[in-house]
Amino acid sequence: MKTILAVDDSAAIRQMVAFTLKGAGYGVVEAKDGNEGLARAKAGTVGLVITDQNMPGMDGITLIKSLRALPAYKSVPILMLTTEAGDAMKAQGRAAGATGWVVKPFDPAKLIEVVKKVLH
Amino acid sequence: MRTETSAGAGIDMRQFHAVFFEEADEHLAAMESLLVDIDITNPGEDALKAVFRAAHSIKGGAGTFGFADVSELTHEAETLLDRVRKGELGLTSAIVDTLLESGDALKLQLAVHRGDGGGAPEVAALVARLRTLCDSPRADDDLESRFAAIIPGLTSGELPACAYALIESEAPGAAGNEEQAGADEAFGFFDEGAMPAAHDALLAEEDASGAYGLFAAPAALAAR
Repeated sequence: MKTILAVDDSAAIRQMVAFTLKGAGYGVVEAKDGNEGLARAKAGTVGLVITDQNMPGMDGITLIKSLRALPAYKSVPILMLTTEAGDAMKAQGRAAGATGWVVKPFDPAKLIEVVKKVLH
Repeated sequence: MRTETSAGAGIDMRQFHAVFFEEADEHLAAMESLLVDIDITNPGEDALKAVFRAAHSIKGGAGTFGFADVSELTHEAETLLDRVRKGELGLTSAIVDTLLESGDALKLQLAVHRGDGGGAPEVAALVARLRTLCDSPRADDDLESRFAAIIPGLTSGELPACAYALIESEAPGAAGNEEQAGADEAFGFFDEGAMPAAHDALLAEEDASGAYGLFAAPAALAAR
């Protein structure tokens, strides 16, 4: 089962994402911001990245662009956790290289559903 | 979204509440500190971003864990902060005071959810003030004031028609300035609400409830 990288500056959200996905059988590593997320991605291969957008230091869009610049992450699915799903967000995310998005607040069941879609 | 459990995945959300409350307390303390120390005449981009991010984080967590009142009040504060940090509104003492008052109200709301006692604060008047402040005209709506920023002392009677055209043409959303709007993006938009119809084709799938969406794969796009 693939390992998922969950990046969010909120420990509560990270814990919820990790608990949800581990309960569904996935391995999860956590990062509290984009810089740590990028470091963890470089340290080991993950099968999917789920990242918040608004974080101190490196934000989500910058993390996505940085990951896509890595050969190992050119095709790894990356989902944005976002509080709004407007056209501007979609355009920005798509341009950065995101695979898709999940709107916050999210239902854990929906999170599992979209993870299964991109991984299987 | 239920406060206590997520029926779909059978998860008891209460196990995450303590961490959320702790984080919310930290964010509120940071907001208060930043607002108390902020220079209203020159607030600084970093300070405004930090206050906005704190409010945004509280809102996100509150919404995720079902604390609707906290999420809604924070949303109002965040919306006002967003206009200020984008430069659409100048920071005023009224805005700072109202945001500080919002922080106090949020503390009371969180205390109720935490079971610390006390009643939920009445926030209708506070929300009305936040919205009134947020609905203020843009700081640069007035063409004269914008031009006067370039040539101090100039009055409207002295502005030739071409000056108006020049000012409008230099606005970020004006036609012909596309390259400036998102120079490092594959594509960009001035009007944040507009998205060319063709971009709907970039979406491979969108959940009916709007909970998530997937972009079309690059190979699929190339084939179009």
